[in-house]
Amino acid sequence: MSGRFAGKVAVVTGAGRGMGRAVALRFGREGARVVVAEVNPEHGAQVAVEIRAAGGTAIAVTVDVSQTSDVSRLFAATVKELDTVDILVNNAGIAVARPILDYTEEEWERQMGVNVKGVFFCCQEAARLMIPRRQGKIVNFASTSAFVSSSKPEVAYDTSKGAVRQMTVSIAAELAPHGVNVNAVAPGTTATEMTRSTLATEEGLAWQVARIPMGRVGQPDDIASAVLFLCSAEASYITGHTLVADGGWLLY
Amino acid sequence: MAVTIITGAGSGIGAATARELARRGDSVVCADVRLDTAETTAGELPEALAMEVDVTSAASCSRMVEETLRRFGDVNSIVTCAGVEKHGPGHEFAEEDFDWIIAVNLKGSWLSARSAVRAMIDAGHGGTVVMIGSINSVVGNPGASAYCASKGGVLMLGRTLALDWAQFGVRVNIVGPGVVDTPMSAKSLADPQRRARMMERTPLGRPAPPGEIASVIAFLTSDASSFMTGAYVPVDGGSLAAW
Repeated sequence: MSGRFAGKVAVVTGAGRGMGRAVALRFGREGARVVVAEVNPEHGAQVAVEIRAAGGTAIAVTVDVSQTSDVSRLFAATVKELDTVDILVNNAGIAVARPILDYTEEEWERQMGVNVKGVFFCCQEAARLMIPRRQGKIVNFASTSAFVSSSKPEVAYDTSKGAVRQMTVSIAAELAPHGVNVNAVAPGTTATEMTRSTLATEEGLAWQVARIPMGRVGQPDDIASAVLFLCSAEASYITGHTLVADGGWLLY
Repeated sequence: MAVTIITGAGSGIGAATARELARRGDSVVCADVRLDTAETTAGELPEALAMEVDVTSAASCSRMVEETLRRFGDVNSIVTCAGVEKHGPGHEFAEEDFDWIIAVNLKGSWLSARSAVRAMIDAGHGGTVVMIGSINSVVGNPGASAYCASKGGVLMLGRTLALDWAQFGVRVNIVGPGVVDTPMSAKSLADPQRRARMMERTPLGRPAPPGEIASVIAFLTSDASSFMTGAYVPVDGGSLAAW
């Protein structure tokens, strides 16, 4: 299949739903061979089927990124099936939202396990493959919550996204001499399963929209466009940056 | 087809942007304070208009947009590349040099964008503005106080105009080039010691050809950046990550 990413192998975690799904579908349409990495086997398989139905190439791998053994298996399976990894998009994430007094240690560990540890070990496995080839693109999912607190109390989530933002900076500096670009994207409020409960009521939606200068919440495709840009040749001199796609939310 | 005005299109990032946007099919207005350089850029392009424009003059900026509308009937984007730089320690720097840098880099970005956005609002269809900031929008550079002040100003100007113009569907974003191989930086890059110092702070280990900035500007003037406004996008080979 031809396109901007013809023949490139793109691993997208959390690709079964929401923004990850939008990223995976777009990669499929633009010629990449897509690894749909997803914790829910049905969601993952469904997206891989959609990509193939549109004429693309995709495999689904069931993975919980918080488990390093799963992460190793994901990259081993990718190399076995598709030879290498050109692009890694660390989208898999969860939000454990609680007031500070209610968090348990187990909840904190789960939040950090997926959003921070999972991103790190996926980056490590990808770097292992990218450094010898002197090329590669990694995009991590941060959030506007890496800059300001979320609109509801969820300190563990905000902390995890702040960590992703800084991890991106440090890995970018380390891998730049090896020709690997590492960036992050920071979506604002985006219409996905994760935000459905917030946006479901008219008051909830109106409250969010009133704070967004562009006057609308983001759609998964808005964010996918930004991710694909960071993975493209057009962005070859950008590394270590967290690209904000928030309709202006952070501006004031 | 989209109509894009590029100020400072006679050289460097502006010229590269004109070529990149013409390649994707935009009708391009090449504005520069030096008409001969604008004509050189426009002369290579299929659908381009060269124009002598002084961005420090509101009248000149208005004329630029009027002529654009006369020739192409519309304006969808403006990229404000016109910029100048002069080095000198802050205690010795001349007042007229300071005023000149602020007038071109900061006030010129506003005046030229203002004229274009007025036309977009009149037409009722929104559009995009891309301003050229710099890594010096966010970190300092010894001996470049006026330049750094102007680029810091451009960052906040762009962010605030993004707020003013969001209601009209006009998105405003700011790119922050690091070391770019342009006439503006030719002298520094030719000096081996200064070049080495600049590369020490550039993890990718090379200056960018202007085309690598133009490709990011192309993204910011396209629908691919549909949910981005008021964003600062560094194109600096990782300099900010390592600072």
